[in-house]
Amino acid sequence: MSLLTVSGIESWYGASQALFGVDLTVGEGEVVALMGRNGMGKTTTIRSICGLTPARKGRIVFSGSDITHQKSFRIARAGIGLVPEGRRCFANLDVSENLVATARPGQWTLDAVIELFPRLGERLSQSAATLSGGEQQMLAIGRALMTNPRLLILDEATEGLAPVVRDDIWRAVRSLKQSGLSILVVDKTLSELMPVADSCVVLEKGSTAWTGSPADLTAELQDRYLGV
Amino acid sequence: MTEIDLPHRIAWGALLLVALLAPIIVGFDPYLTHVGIIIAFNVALATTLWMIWSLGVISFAHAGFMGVGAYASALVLHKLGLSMWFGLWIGAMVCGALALFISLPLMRTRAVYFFMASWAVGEVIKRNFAYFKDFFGGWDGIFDIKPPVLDLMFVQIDFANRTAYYYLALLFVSLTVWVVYRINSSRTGMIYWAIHENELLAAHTGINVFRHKVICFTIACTLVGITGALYAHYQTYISPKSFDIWKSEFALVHLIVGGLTTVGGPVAGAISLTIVDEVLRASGYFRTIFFGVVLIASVLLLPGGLETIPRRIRAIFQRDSHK
Repeated sequence: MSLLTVSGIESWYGASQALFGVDLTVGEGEVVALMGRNGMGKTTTIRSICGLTPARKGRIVFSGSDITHQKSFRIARAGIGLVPEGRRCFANLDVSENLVATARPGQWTLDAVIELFPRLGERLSQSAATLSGGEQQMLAIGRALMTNPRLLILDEATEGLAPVVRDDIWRAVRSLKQSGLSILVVDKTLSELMPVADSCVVLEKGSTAWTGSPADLTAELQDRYLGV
Repeated sequence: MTEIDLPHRIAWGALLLVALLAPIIVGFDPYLTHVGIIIAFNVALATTLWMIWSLGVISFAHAGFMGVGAYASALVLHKLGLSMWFGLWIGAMVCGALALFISLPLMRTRAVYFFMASWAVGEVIKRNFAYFKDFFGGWDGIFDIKPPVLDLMFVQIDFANRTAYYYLALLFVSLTVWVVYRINSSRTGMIYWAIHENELLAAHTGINVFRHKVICFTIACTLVGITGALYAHYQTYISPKSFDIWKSEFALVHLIVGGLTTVGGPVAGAISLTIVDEVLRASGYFRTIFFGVVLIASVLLLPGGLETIPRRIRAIFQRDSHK
């Protein structure tokens, strides 16, 4: 059963159209990789799903409810947790405050997040601004989990991180998948993304160009759509 | 809600103790007791303004809302014949209701637009006091706003007595600071600072940013309305000029000099700058210039404000211990 269904959405930044018809589906407990070269509309698709750049055309249905024109905070409360691009944390709060401020009841508690990312547990009273890039990313994921989402969206979660930290992040993603959480993930590292993903959606010039399983994403398709 | 840690308990406790003993320390000197009362009003004004600042905006309507509380309480006394004990709460309610109503459009603005809009609100409030002469007394203001008398059966406390009023002001200001402190150290306070840092990020973590902004603004204005009522019954005279934009700007200066990140900042800023202002009173015409010099010097020499002093002292000791 699909948890999120995006049907033909078209989005604009002012007068400039960025999305020309994006379709994707994320099922319960499924990990979907949203792929495409730079500027193809991956982040805009995520922004539209989260209500930050609302779609002017098309429809976004989450858990049976139309969220196309919902406010951002209502979409988050409906169960979509976003880890935005650029490791955004509340720099003026410490680690525990970052996690607690946005917490909602559910299986994800402070202890559960610390179990997933033990390094955060060592830095609970440390200002988020003083964390390393990897720790900030862990915090951003932890904060999204504390909202107890049904769907977690990761936008370039491992970008610019050291290999050892990326391993930690991917380990966490695999663990989240095993726990049954639905995940929509954007990442450029195919070698790490493919083993985790259940299905792939490739965007080209602001619209869905290809959908299928990672096994079907042949070298030729990768070359055509991803420039690999 | 997080518990107050020991060093903070000691610091706040010491400050409260000094404030309680202050009239005795100054030998019940009327002028110095008056300065103490003015400090109390300025602390309340700055602390409640700081509460709005925790959302990331500065309201230039703050003195205007203090005026609403003051006028409401004065009018309750003059038109209804009810003492300050009623006026205080009616003033707070009127202030809260007006703040809630105004915050609905005001809190949809951001950054410089909020600054301009709040400035306009402050001016409109002040000019309404001046325009409706029959009701508010126009530019002449309202006179003879009597301080209250507390009848406790066995003892009567007349707050026309300056020392008694000092303790009354201290009680309400302490409560105001305590309320702001507790809100700030609760999860709600964390949410305010999250909004301060990044509204969009806060929104897509499920925070209803607009609702929190409206509630925070309303609480801060309600608290400053109580301060306004206390101010009116202390001064016994108020006019629109008592609550003009400069009062809000001075409160902002108290914040900047004291520090912007903790409740201690506005408290320290209001206490120190009110004392500086009183010390400079003797310089007459040059008072404003001297005040400006003190302000610039404090910003240049102590970036981050007075609230950073404990941290700086700790850093010096830690440096010495590493040698």
